[in-house]
Amino acid sequence: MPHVDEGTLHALLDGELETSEVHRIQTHFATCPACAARLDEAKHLLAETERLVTALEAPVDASREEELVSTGAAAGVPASGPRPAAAPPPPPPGEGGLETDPFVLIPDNPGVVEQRRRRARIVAWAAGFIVIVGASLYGLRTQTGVGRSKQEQQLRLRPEDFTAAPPPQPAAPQRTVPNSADSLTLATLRESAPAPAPTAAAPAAPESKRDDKTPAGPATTGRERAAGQVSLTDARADTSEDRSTLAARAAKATADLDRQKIRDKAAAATAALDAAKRRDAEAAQLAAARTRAAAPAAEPTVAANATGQAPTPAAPAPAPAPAPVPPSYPRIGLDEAARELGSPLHAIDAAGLTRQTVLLVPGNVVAGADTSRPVVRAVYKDASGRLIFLDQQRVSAGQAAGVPSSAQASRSEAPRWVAGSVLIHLHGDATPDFLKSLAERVR
Amino acid sequence: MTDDVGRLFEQYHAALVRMLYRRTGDHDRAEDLAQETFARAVAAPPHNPRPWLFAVALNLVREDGRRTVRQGRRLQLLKAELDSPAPGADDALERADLTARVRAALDQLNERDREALLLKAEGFNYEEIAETLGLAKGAIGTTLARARRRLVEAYHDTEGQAKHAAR
Repeated sequence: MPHVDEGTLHALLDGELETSEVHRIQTHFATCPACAARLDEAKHLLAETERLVTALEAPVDASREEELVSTGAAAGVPASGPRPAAAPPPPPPGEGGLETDPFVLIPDNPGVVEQRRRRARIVAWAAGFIVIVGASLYGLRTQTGVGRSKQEQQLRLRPEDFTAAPPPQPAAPQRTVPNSADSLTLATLRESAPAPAPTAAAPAAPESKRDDKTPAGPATTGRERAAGQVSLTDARADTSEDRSTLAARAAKATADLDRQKIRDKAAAATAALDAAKRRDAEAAQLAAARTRAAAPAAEPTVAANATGQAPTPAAPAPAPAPAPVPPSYPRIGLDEAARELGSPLHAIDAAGLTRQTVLLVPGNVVAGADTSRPVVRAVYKDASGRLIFLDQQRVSAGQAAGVPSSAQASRSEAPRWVAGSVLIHLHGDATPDFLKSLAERVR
Repeated sequence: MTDDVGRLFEQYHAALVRMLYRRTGDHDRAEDLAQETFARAVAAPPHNPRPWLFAVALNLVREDGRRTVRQGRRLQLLKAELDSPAPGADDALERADLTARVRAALDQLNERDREALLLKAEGFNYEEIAETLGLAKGAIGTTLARARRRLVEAYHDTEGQAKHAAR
């Protein structure tokens, strides 16, 4: 037989070869030390690759984005501005490419930018309304001292205003307010209040303002200046109808603000929940990946055992101790198992026990088996996750001597008996009593 | 149909994001690409979902790679890796160093070898890898053997370079 090529060696180690081909290659290994050495090398490559790829696990840092958002919003960082200077971690040693400040070049996350932009809009909008509400209250208070508290109650306690309030219009706070205090009247102030009905152009207004580099701060300051200088004469000249309209608008603005806050809190809670779920899922995946990574290193391969070479440190001794399921043992179907055994595969018919897979295991890892032939292993898992192995091998001449013909007669801790022409060995991660109770359920 | 896609999402989302993160080194981008992949699954529910989802995701990465300035992405991934929490500063640096070297080594592989390696790391068998990448099943063993050898060699090269630079 020619030498085994590298692709076939890797396919063998990945458990992708047919049983017949595995046998053929095993035979070749026994006579070809060069191929056996290449198999060892391939095993090393496999283990090393798994270690390296596992190192590329995603960092579990779901709060990163939220921190960026909250820092940006709290510090009033403009939407298009750079990330907060406090955030960058120190550059790693030995990385020449990071000697320049890398974070300037990092493309900003569009999702985070949009979130920050939305929050900045809301803050600007809210600031505008607070000023307007304050100005109207100031006007009402200065008009007359009598009945002031009654009017304040009227401002706050009008349920119909809450129910009829329209959704918040982010365009409103961006409206231009005249800074000239001399010409300001309550009428102009009312015009600067949010319009109850949205206009088609309204949603585009905040963006255009942002593009024009018009900061929210100066606009707010203009309103404060203007509102502080509303003349008493103008306020007195206003009619009672105007006052009630203003009060209604103020109440609506307050309600809108409250609703927006609730929506923000709900969005933040949803985001936090999503992040927690993602963290949990990633942690579970990480644990599973580590388990997978640990398994191959601790297990022998079919080929190595068949060559009769000196066993590796992880090679199991022929003891009845249950061996974990090695990924390098080839999986087989029920038909192939039946061909191997000369009769249908025996199965455990017990509630709570599910068959995971059927493997072809080298005979030398199963106690009492004929080491020259493979053993068919049905792997079961019980409700608490314990693995149970039902090993089966067609009986050869002389092999059945001394083996009881029923599970009940077996005195060993892991029941072993002959059923028809098949030697059965039941063992696993369970107590002897439990294994014996399972032996009665083998069909 | 929505239920089907919901099930697919539950079943494959984490694996898809993990593979995309390993491929791109950018967690946010990996999430976005996974979302886009599932959006396409809604539009055209796949017959054999696992190879289909991973094939679409890898196509999206390739399209994305053509549009993206590579240097920016490198820096993003390094930042993400440096941001990752670790028990101590030394551990964090060591981990970041290892990750950066592995990624540099992975980048030296050709597209097909790299993708085959990442799919194998996700537990794909040869048949599924062949279906996802449009290759013959018989070629997967050779592809993986070459990919593994090149990855390990490239990684050790970067290790050697780092030691040389330290001297």
